[in-house]
Amino acid sequence: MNEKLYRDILDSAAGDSLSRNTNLWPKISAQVEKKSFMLSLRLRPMVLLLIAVLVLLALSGAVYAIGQSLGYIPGIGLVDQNAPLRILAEPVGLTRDGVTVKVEEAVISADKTVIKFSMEGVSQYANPQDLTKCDDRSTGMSLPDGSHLNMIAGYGLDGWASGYEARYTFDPVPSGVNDATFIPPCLQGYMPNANPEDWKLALHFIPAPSQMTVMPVIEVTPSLQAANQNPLTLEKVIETDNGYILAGAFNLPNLPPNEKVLQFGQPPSITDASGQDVPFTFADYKLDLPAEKTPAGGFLWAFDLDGKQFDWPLTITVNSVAVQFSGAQAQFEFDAGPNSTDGQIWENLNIHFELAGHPVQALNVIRTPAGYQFNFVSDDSTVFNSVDISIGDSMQGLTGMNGLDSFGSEAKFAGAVPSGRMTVLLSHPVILESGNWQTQWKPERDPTLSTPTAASQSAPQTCLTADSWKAAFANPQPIPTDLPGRIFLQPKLDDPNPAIYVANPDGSNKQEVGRGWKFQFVSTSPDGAQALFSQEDGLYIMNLATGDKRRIPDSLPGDFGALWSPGGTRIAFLRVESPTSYPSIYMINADGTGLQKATDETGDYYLRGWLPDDSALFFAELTRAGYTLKKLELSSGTISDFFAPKGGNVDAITPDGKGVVFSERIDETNQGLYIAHLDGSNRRLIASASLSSESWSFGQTKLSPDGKWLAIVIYATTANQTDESVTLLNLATCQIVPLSYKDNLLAWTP
Amino acid sequence: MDDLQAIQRLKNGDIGGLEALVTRYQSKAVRAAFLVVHDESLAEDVVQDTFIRIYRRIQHFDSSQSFEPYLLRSVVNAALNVAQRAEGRHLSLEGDLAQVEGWLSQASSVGSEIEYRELKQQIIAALSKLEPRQRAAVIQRYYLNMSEKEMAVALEAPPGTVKWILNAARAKLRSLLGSERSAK
Repeated sequence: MNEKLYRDILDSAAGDSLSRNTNLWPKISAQVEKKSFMLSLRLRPMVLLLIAVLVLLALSGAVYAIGQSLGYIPGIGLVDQNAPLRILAEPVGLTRDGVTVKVEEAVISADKTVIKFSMEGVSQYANPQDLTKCDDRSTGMSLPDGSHLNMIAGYGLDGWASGYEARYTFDPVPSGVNDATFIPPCLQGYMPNANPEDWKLALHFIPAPSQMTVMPVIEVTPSLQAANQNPLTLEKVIETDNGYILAGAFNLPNLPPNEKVLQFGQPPSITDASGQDVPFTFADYKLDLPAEKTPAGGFLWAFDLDGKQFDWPLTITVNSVAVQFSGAQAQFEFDAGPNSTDGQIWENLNIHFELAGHPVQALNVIRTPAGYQFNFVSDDSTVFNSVDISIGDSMQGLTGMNGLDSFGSEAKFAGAVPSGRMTVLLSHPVILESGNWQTQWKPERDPTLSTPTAASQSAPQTCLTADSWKAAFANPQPIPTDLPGRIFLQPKLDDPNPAIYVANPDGSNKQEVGRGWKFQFVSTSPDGAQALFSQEDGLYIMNLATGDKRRIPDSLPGDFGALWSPGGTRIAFLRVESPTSYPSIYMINADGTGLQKATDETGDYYLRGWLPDDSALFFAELTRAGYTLKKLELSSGTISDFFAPKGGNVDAITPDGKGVVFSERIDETNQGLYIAHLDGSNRRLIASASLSSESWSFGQTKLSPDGKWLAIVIYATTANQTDESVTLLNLATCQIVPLSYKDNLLAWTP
Repeated sequence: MDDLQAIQRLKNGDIGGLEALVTRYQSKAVRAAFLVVHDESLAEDVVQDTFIRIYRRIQHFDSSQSFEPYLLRSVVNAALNVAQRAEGRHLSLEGDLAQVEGWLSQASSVGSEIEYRELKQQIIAALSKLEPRQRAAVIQRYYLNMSEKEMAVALEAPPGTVKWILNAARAKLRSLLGSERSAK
């Protein structure tokens, strides 16, 4: 069968099922500048399950208590705070053959060590035959004394075409030990020529800052009677910004020791008192629930509820679970004949046996390249999910359901596949058990009267926060009349022919200076009389008073990012010399003469500012490790590195050439905006926003020509509508001036 | 503007490059996401999210590789994540991957347009009964033309998933691949 045809069929089938023309650009363009976002899941309503047995948790018998020691850290999970929390001093990464592995975050609590690990830069699976040999067992943590920590859990957090992010949980690093070595999972399959595996990341831990977000966990203790009667128990509740996380356990009472409940058989439902479905997602990974389930042989669960306004109480309903019978075995003989071949099928086998007390017969056997796949059917309608199989020294292959009626399991052989008569052993069958189990919950207090979240309580005191901005927005003060320079604005890009305007910094006196420009880089001469920008065919200089413009003769189509020097003598810009390379930095005199390439190097460059005497250019280079601020000395062509903010960007250089405005992660959930010396020292936090909040965040910034004000793009969400606007912040006084215009701010020039 | 030019512009901060890529690939990407999540609005959310992720990670994109497969693999991975979180870890009681493959096989040789249309509807209906990972397996194999080994990696990574719950997908994937070999 031609696989491309299958692809076309699927593509056409999907297209037939879609009801509207796709036009995502307006939404995407509105979001690309945001610092944070969260995919909003729209859950399909679940079918209300039939209720046969109703076992309700007696709310009056439940005890609610805010855990004194248990906390919830977004992105990390539940942590025991009986010992001081410690965090990673700084992210640690290694790059080899274009693949970067990094430990972005780590937390040590009294009960565990949590490592967030990412791998980036995988263009293809280089050696998939090697990768299939790899598994989580190679992952580890070692201490300076040579001992190793036991791994408790591992969760894949995210995956994309060129990498993935995962979280590993180990036993706690002992108090007093602040260094450890993380051994990443097997990477051979991702590397072009990776051999041997010797990746190790040295981690150093420091005490967690006092303002780190740790949300309180409400521990729910049901009455003993309710707990004994109800396998489905709610144990923990966490109130988040957008809803609740409910966590609990499922334990079937009185199971024989060789039976173990593994997981839900079908997805549970949550309904409110009116019978309406409550939207939720599974949150096992958020709480870092251990892969090994409860001691009693049940499993832990966690749901993330979307919203706080429901008709209380809520009812959680489960109607089937999967049970493994570890003591159940069956054995039979199979004769494959003298010379079995790949693809050969044996049917009408007349093999009958009993497995976990249920009659089963073999449906057929299929010879596979590495062994035999046996397919079975239950004679009493029992639903088997899987079963382990072995023939002599064979390995377990794939096992699972073939629809409701049958199930299969493959025995694989490392060497030659045997033929002839063989004994087949089945074990560890997993069977779906039906039932109907319920529990109910409602919050102790009206959520509309809830106290502020831990995140907002712990936000650092800075000039600009969600609270200070909202206060300034609600009580606007007069806009200062002495704001320096002019600003350049552009409407949102869903305008097919976008204009660029020049205006006063408060948005007044707006004048169109051109249309149809797709490159958003604008600079001006030091006196503000001339604007420098890109068009499709090169760089242009416009006289803002007359509107006359001229193309710089030696510029080329695609030249961009031009930045006029403060002394007015030079213009720096970026030029891409081949379609597959990064740009180089070029210089040209302000009169259009003297074009020269400033450096032979190329990179993902962003021009940020000049020294006041035009002798050096500051730029940021973006690499896999993030942004680095660099300086290019024009006389020598020397490039020197200054500073690399962690998880942020280099926004601007102060007019005196001594300071830098940059963004950086404060911690897992907060992003900060700082001003500091060029090497990142003497930093001052001037704005902060919670990354987990969708209601308020900040984006790009522009520094005023005199360096006293910072224009900051603000994203504020109310009633599912995100408004983007510009706010001015006085860096000396912390005065906050929200402005009314909604256009993109391209530049703040003299 | 070709893909390379659009990506270069995007790497240099010009979101006009992103606009070109969105315009060119959004429909195809939404169709791929729909095959996994089976909800049009959710599919659009997934693609929107993926484009924004690519925008933020564009510095990591290797310009020597084609953009379209990179995008579509990212979309299917994201769609699988979303579908699993939306639908949870549970066992499919209805799904039959062999049935999907059967409809695909029939649709590949059908002559009548009406019959072809009916078969496509049956394919969508049969896909909707599969677990998210099984759906993703079909899309990875037949829509993205991924190899068996790449699929095994994609279905198992990121690491640490509950191994046993994947068994159903693996068994059916094995059945699917076995049938494909037989067809060849």
